[in-house]
Amino acid sequence: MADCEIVFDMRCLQDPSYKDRGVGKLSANLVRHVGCFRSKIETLTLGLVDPGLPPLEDRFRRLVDQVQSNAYLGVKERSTVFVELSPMTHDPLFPGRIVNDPDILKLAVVYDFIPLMKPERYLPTASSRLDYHTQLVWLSRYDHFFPISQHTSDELRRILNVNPRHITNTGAPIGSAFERIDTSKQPARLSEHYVLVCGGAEPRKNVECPILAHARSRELQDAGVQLVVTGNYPPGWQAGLRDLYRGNGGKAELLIFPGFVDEDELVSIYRGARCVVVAAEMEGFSMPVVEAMAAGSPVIASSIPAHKELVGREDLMFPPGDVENVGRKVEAFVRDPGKRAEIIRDQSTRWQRYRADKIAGEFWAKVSDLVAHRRPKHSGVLRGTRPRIAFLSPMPPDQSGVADYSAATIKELGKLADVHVFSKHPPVATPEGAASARQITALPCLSSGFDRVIGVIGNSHFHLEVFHLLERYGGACIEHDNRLLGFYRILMGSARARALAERELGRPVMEEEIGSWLQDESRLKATFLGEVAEWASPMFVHSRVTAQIVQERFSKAAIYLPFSIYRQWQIDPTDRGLKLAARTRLGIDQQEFAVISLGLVHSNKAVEECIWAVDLLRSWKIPAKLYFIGGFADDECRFRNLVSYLDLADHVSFSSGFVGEAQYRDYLLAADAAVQLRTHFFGGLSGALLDCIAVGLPTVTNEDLAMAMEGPPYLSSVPDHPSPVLVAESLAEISRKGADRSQFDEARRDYSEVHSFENYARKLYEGLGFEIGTGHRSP
Amino acid sequence: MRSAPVIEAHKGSTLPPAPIFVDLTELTTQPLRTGIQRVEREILSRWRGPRALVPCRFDAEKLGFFALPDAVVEILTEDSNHTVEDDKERLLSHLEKGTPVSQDDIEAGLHNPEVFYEQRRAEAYRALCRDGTASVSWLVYDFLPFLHPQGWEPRTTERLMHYVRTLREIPRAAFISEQTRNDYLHRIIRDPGRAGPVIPLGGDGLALSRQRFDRRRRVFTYVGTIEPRKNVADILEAFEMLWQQDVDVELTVIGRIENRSTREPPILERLKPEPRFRYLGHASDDAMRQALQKTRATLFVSSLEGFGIPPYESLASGIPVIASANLPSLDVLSPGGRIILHEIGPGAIAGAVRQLLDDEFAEKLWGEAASLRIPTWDEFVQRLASWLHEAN
Repeated sequence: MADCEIVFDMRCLQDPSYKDRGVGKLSANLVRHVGCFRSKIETLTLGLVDPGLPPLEDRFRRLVDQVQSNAYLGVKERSTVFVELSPMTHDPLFPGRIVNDPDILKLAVVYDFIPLMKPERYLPTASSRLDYHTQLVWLSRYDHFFPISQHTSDELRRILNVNPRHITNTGAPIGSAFERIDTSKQPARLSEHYVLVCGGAEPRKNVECPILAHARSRELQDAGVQLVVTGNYPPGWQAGLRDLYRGNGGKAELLIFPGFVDEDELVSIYRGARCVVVAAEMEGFSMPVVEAMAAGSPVIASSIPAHKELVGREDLMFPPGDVENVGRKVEAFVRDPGKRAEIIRDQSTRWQRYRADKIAGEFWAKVSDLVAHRRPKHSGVLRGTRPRIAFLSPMPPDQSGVADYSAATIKELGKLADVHVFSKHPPVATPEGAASARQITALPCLSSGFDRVIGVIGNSHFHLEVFHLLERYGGACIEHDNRLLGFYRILMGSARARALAERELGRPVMEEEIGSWLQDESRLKATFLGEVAEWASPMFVHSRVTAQIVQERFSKAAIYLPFSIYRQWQIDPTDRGLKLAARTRLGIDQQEFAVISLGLVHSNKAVEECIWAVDLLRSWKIPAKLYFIGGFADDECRFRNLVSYLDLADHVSFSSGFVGEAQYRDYLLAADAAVQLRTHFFGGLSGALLDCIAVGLPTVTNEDLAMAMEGPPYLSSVPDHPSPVLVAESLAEISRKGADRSQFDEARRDYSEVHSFENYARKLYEGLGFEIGTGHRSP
Repeated sequence: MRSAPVIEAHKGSTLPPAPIFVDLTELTTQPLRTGIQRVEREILSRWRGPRALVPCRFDAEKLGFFALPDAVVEILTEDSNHTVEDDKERLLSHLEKGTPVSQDDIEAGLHNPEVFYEQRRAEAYRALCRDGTASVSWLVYDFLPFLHPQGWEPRTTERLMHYVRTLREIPRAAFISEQTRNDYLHRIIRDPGRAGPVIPLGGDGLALSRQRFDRRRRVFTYVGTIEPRKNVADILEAFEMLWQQDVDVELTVIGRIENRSTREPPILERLKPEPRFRYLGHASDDAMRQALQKTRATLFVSSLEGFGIPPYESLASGIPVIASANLPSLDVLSPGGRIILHEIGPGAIAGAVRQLLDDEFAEKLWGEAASLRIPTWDEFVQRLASWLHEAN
């Protein structure tokens, strides 16, 4: 097993604004050279990516062992180092949980604080200033800083009051093309005599200064020396600069904008220049200065701090606005080859400390040192002897079965850990077993106060807030449902649902197909669990079938938790006397073969097949009557018409609205058999079937459901595409055998023990990486 | 007989017995030449009485049975190369010329040799049978969709229940296999009073002369549709194994591929360059005869069949067969002429093929096949006619 895990925030390598610029080059160089560290400590590398940004290109993806779409690290089995490659460019909350984790060594590469130097330009609104200062607050939480220049280091100390012991300077790496032997020819578009100005579509690059100097210089104009300005200037900006040039006496044909050039061409342009001018008003580091030196061209630069430490000579510097000064210096280079040669000699070694391998080597040597001298992390939980768990879930009074289930879970889990509940509608009173109950926010996902965060997901709107937090910040996840079709199609929209289904199935999926799945879930082909599987660590599911599907389709090992019985019985539900009494209360004839079907009456429960099965049973002279216990979810007319068509009005009963708890329990006691079918599969579960199992009631169900529920022997399974004949046949067999439930009592009790909330909570606790009895994390 | 408006049998009799109406609603709508439609065509073309047979169809709009003109029988019984679409087109104008059948006439004798799920047609039968006096009979093929629904599209069975519900009202039912009769008696209808005889289908539909064993025959042939329950992928993989082991054997596969098949298409693609393999797709009877004339043995290892006619026809032509256990068609025959596989898989199939490549063993099986007594289509129609006649 590896001794160390290095986690990189790779968002800057996803972002087109940064990935191929200085930030991206520096970041990729550090990640690429992680081998320097690995040679000393066995290491796993993990890249964090933001799904909201463009996908990470393969050239960057290959640099790390794994990629994860959130910053939830779950169980940390080894020393963890977090490297923030670009702390000021993206949402600081994204890696917030890591940054707040005292167990993790957090390192940040720091580029500059330019926005603070010119807030009127870079932070024009109150909101932008607040955001920037929020980023500064998050930056202050890192353990060690790698500023890219002494100037940035100084600023870091000044602005954030960082102790110098926690600062190690680094630098930006020079591109490999600059280190290759010069075999280039004169760039095709340029003459033999030109001066290069390094710009960029940023006002602070201050190219106006050298442009004015060149335009006003009679010597340069008469000698026909071109002025080449690099940087991707939009046409309008370029036109403005040309006007400025011509307006100050420059000949139009001498001002050249080469536009985008690749690195090889850029090197040629540098190498062919009489001199290079870098006039920026503000920089954290200046790559053009280093590049010019590496290319063997003399460079003069504005006298800002970042340039001073690179150039090191006052005579090669000028105040950023001093046009005449620039003009004089450039003319001297063009006029005097001896001076030019002398400067080239002087600058020929200054750039070498910015070789990519040297910068990365020094960086990783320092990281090794920091890891070696870091106090070993304690093996217990962060605070006290009991783990603290943030539990994000719908809770009563939400009218959701999952809310009730979570309440029952917390009651038992609370015996093992401090459970803090976060829900959309916080309960009036703290739920039994919970340490607190609050309104859901991002706080538990960012706080270092929780050892684990669990989000509860299901196929309904009650889970929307939890879903969004899981998507952004990751976490452990209890996935209640075996498919999220309705959730995605209705709440996330058609485009996202389609894209997710296409990714899962590896083929195009039309909107019409998804519509047909919604109409009839027996046609459903996709589970829509792919994203949740990706985000969750770990993912808990309630069916081994679902776990297997998640493994096969998404290569994710989900943890199986046996779905628990949450309708408890204080009496013996197999007692025959209780059964007879319940039948009397419900008016069920003692001779009747009473079959119940619990839960909402919905076509995805094969209602028609059940009605047809009653028709068959009666044709076989079995006095069956089917009771649907639950309201209609859809198609009431269709079901009633079928009953009427088959002349079964006296033998099929629909409950007339809400069925109270007492009556619901009476039906469970009174029935001779139950039928609980599902026409969608993927290991879906049924709370109603669980109720039947809990009272030892012989029940006909379909194979997928029976397997998902790990059904006891008194379940009869029929194929997943239910046939009325097979349903009737199974019910007839139950009728033939007689309906004494006490024969199933032992199996019922065994099942109830395995599927108790006590057992559920223990397995959940262990699945989160804690050890029962120690109150500690494992290992 | 083909030109007559009714298929008569008692010419010259002054008081001919009442005709039997035969319900061809499905055949006239979808004039295929395979499966149930093939049975219907055999009935039409081989009917010899004693009672006349009058084709009719149920009109779901007019809610009644209509006797069909003789041109319909001509089209349905001619041995032509017309496509299904051609035949549909040709039948269309004649179907409109049907004449209503009176209640008395239809009650005197109506036979349904089709499987159907249309509610209005089912209701018409239930109404006919309601007072228990009508002479209505059905030929029952199998109950696969009801007993093995996993082989069909989800939620199919519920829509098919009109057939079962109506069948329990039908006073007389005959069956094409013992298995179907047992299912009727013990699982579906559970009423022994209405169960008629088993009338096995004919095995001579291919009209292939009795074949003789020839050691030079190295070809094994599969005939049938390619769909999951037929396990054709196992056959293909078995032969791939044999070819990898340099066994001198060839395979021909005949039959269209259904879109539910997922295993077979990539294997068929993989085998395209294999010179010892031929895939003919859907083939005419003539092409099938030609293939069987070179065949050493046929293969039919389906997991589930209502009857299973290809191995039956193979044996009727004297060609041994490698078959799965419990095929209803083979249950009606005495033992011999076949290797029965109780477990289906490429290894088991390859083992059986190797056995049959042994000349001595193969010759023995050819001898057994030649001695089997296999019902013919004439016999089938004759037995059906006798049973229908008994009703009066």
